Amino acid sequence: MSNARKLADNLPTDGQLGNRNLIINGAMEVAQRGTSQSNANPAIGSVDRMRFALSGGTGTMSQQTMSASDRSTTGFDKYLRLDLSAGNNNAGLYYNVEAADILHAQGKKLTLSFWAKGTNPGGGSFVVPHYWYDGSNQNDGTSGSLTITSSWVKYAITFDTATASSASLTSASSRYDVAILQPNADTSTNAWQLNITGLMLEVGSQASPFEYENISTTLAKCQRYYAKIEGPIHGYACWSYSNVASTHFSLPEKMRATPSVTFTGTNNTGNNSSVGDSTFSMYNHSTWIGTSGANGVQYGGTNASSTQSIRINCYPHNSFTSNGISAGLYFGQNCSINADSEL
Amino acid sequence: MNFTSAKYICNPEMPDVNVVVKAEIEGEGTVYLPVGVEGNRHWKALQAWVAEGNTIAEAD
Repeated sequence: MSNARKLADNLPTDGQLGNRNLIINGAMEVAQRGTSQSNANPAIGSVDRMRFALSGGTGTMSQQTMSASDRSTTGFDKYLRLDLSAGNNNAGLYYNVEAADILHAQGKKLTLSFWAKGTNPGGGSFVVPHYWYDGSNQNDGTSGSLTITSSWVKYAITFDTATASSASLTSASSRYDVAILQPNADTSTNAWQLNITGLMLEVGSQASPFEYENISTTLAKCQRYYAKIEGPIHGYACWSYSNVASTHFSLPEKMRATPSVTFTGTNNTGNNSSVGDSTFSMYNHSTWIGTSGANGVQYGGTNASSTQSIRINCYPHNSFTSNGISAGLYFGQNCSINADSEL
Repeated sequence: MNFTSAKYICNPEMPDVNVVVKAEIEGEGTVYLPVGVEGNRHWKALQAWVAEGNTIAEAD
């Protein structure tokens, strides 16, 4: 076969030639929350954008690094491992595509491609469901099937995009879900393991080569859905009201919706001796006043936060020396403010 | 998403305005979620929790 023929065979026959992959972080490189999770109700707790569901099973999901020989085989450095010591029906991996990113696929075919290896659920295979979902209504497409082996193999599954009959495609919660699951009818509890990388979902009936991108591009895409403001942070908060000082933090990317917030770290409810890498602390007039054990650092929420910045309120453990005086902040290097706007 | 508790937090400058719900969610810990934001999945799930008969505690 001529090189020209090979080139022609690899060119996509539908959709654009660039930015074809509808999946963010398909190379499994970004893991802002950590490299392993056991929380799966379902939840994203390790590799960004990859949602883990245990559905009554037990196990973990984690980011793994390829051996040199496997890297040579697959072309990827990282992969995702779902390791279930006890399986259950509907356990597995979900990916949520924001509806606005996939509206153009209506009435067309979609192809999901990836590298995988491992062991199958007790029934012998995985199911690959896909559907529109607006937070209330779900419109299913025809599911695919997947059987993996103990060696890395590249798979491609082509299906018709589901028809949105009742699901709204324009609500803020609308999405297109693609999953790889233990089938609903397979209630076995056998252990199984799915190792997967190079996940790509594209418009068209053939899998084109994976679109590699630099990690900063992937991270920025992930930060539309989840972002961390990491310590150490020295800053100032403006006295707000009574015994509260407030500040705003810019988010690294404009997020999908005004986020929810969690805090990693503890309130410094003491004085100098309690200032540390894992504490949120405040000082006023050269005196450490700590953060309140009851209120500490809190999210400012609606009316004071947006998709681009979040307000953080700081409640001192000891009173300010006088109202109207701004407070200094020190958030230790192990502290972070975590903004979540996942679908 | 399993909520075990939820409580409003008001705006410090406007104590009559609730701006955040401080919620305990199994597997996620303490989550602060903005009130009434369409498209925020925690807020949507909280509405379902309330519809089941649960109550968001009033702010202090």
